[in-house]
Amino acid sequence: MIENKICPICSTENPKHVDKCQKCGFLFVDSQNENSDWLNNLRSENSENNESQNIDSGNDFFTNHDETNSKLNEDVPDWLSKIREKKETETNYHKFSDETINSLTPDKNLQNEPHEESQQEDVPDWLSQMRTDPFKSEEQSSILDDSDLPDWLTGQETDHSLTSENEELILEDNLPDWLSNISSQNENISEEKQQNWDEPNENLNAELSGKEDPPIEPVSPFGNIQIEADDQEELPEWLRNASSDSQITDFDNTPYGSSDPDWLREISELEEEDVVEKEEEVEEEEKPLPFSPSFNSEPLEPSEFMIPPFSEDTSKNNEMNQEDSSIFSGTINNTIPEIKEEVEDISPFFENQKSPIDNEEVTPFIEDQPLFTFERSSDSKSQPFTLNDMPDWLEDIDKVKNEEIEDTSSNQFENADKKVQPGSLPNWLKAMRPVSAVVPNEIRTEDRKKIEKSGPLAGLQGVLSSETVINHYTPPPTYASKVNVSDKNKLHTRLLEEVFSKDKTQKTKTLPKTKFDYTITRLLIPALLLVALIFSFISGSNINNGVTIQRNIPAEQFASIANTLSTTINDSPHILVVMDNDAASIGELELVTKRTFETFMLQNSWLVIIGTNPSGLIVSDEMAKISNQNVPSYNQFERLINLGYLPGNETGIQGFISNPKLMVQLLRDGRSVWETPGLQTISTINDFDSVWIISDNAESTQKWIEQLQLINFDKPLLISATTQATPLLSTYLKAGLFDGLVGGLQGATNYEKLTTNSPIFFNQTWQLYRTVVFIFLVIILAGAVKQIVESILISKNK
Amino acid sequence: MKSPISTAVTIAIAIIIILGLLIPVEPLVTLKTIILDWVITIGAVAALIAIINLVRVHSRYLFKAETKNFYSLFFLIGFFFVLIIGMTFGTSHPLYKNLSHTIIISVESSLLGLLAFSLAIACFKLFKQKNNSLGVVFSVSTIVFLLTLSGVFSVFSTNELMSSFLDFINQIPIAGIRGILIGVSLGTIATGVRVLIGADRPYRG
Repeated sequence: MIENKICPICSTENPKHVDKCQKCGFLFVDSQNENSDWLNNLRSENSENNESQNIDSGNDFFTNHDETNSKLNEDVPDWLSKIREKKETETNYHKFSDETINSLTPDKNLQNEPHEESQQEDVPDWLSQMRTDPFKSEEQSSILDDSDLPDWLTGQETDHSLTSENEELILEDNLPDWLSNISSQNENISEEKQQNWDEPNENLNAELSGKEDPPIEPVSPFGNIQIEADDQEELPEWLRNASSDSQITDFDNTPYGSSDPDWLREISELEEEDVVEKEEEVEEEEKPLPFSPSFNSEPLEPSEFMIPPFSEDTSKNNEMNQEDSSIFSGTINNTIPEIKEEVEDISPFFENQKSPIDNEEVTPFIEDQPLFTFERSSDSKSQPFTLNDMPDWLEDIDKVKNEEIEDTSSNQFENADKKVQPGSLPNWLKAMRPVSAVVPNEIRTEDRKKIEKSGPLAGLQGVLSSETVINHYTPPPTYASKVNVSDKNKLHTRLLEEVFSKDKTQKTKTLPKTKFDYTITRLLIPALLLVALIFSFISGSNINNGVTIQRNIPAEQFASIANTLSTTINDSPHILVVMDNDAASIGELELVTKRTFETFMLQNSWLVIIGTNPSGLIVSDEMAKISNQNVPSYNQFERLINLGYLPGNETGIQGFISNPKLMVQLLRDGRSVWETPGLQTISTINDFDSVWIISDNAESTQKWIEQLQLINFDKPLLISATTQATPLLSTYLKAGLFDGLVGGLQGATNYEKLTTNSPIFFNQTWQLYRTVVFIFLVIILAGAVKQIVESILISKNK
Repeated sequence: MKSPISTAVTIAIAIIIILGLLIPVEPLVTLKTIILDWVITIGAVAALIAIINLVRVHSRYLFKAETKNFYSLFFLIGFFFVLIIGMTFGTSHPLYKNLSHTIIISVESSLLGLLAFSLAIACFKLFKQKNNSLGVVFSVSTIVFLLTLSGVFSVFSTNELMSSFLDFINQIPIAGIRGILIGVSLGTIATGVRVLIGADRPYRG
């Protein structure tokens, strides 16, 4: 008897009453409760032999696992192998969901409570009574209605209701031979053990025991098996000794403490370090994985034949619920034939193992074997299980198990499973194409072959197909737009930046306005101009002798043409007067054209006025009116014809020159233009005796000159222009494009001197003009002097 | 090509006008004259549209704008007054002529007088704004031509040397203007050719 519990993880001795290891926190499970040997009753004799071999094989079990699986598959029936395969795949999901749920309850007792409660809620009455008082008297058990129980369970119910004294008789009567042998071996089991194992295992126990010929592969626990004498004869000596010396109760009881080999101890130490990290990770994964309810995924009783811990997380394995044991049980059964063949090669390590029974204190170790299970699944080929292959008794079991699965599952997935029944999926879900439908065939083939080797999906095949697909696809190419900049381009850019930077930084230097500037610009200059104007009007007549004629603006040619025009044609000449000026220049043009108008009026000419400037056309009548004052004999209302405004600029000029009758048809009073007395003989532009252009704009006058040259106008072309337009028109005059020019006040003065003997009016205006010119010269010089003085003062201040 | 119809019409009309000018034979001359008549009519309508737009803009300034422009009120009063007088009595009526003459001549002469004052102030600030060699050259040329046009140098007309110098001075502006005219003519020809071949489409809008 050992008073203390030895932790299989850290080999620390703990007091007997503690539930978990004081050093590493490992949860101890009562091996007597957990490792009930109820399944021993269900095992066949062949399985017992294999169990002993399995124990002896020890670590070789894992190394030769692949071989054993292949051999096991050959020995088991087809229908059973299909069940196992399907069960393994489904329990993969189930296991991980349970792990996440169990991780939230560190204490095993707390973990099992809701599970047991959920089972008790949905189990039949007869079954709940069995749980509450499994050793009830026969009279009480008879109260149960047999009709509520399935037929196959009737015999099992009686077994549970029997006391320990009646148990042997009933087993001998109702159970098959192999089961009766097992039951006979369970006499040593105490009542407490039976109570403990009876609750979690009653379903499976009832299922298996109720069948006359259980087709299930006999899964023999490693422990709590008393090998019969017949079987012992077939065993080797070492195994026979081991079985005789100690009743092997559980594989968990295999030495795991000081007697462990070094490599195994190192693994366990590493696993202890990972325990805390794994628990934290599991707590974060609060969402349990969905699982499909089926018979094969039904949780089973934690078996007594658990393998020593080789998995990573021992704490979680201790907390593993009952469903996980089903995976392990199935794998153990498959490995039994292989183990049996290699019994002879067993290592001395297991021969020297000290049986935990000797210590009478077994520290159970419920261990999940994911590695073990997954290796098998990886090697196995998928053989889908069909309902046609399932025996009838298994179908009944499946119904019962499905109900229990729904009870044990979480509420979250319970509702989902009820809503979405298999085969009645919603349309939107059916319309969804699986990932494999859009994945290339090549990738899908590779994906089926791939098995996850790490992570929570370790061991599952083809569950992460999208990851592989992503790796096969490459992102679209990105094209970078780069401009090759040479050193020369950089140099030019730098120079350009320097130029702009100077322009940006340079600020216009403006001096502040002073009172002196304001006085000069706003008062002195206008006052000076006004004084000059008044002085010219007062003293103009006294300076007539100072006026001289400029040689560069000759008016002789113009004067000769105008004066001899009436004599050459021997009739009243028809003169086309073109008004191409603004109203603002009427003051200057009146002086320039006054003598010319008088000359033509004296010749009683037909003056036909047409304007290409609206305002100039309006003032034309005023100009003629002023001239008419000096020639009262001239009938202005008869001889002066105003054709109006000619729009269209060059085009209008061209049109009028080409066909005057078409362009102008009516007068302002509504009469026909070409029916008036002076214009009846006019049909083209060449029918006019002369064209006289009055202009203050050289550009517009230029158009007239050019257009008339196009039609080879052979009549005199005279121009009276302002001083502003004279320089440009002088070039055309010198080029011979027109015949005479009177330019500005100087030209008008020259023309007056040529035509009259008393040029008083023009001399007065000329003096005013010359005075203002001198004033402007003084202003310019004054500004220059002021600027020079300021520059000198600024330089001195600096 | 954008607006191909407009381009085709423009090129066709230009070719017709040129052929009508260079080859004065029928029907090119008649066709050219008709087209030019259309142009004059369109120009007259454009002038009418400009007058209407002017009235509309000033009406907006007076009635719709946030900040009322009361100067537009005087424009509208003057416009409608002259318009009513002209339509009532006719454009040959002395009232209409005197009214239009007075308004136009006084306004435009005032603007020209303001130009004279502005030029005088600009002359005073000439070296202040252009305190460099360009300012000096401009100022010297301005002074020389003002003196020349004032007739001060006419006293030297009897001297042949001074007379030749004055003739040379008077020819300088003519030389410069001829250069400008040659450039303008070349630019006009280039613009006409571009419009003729459709490379330049100012009518596109």
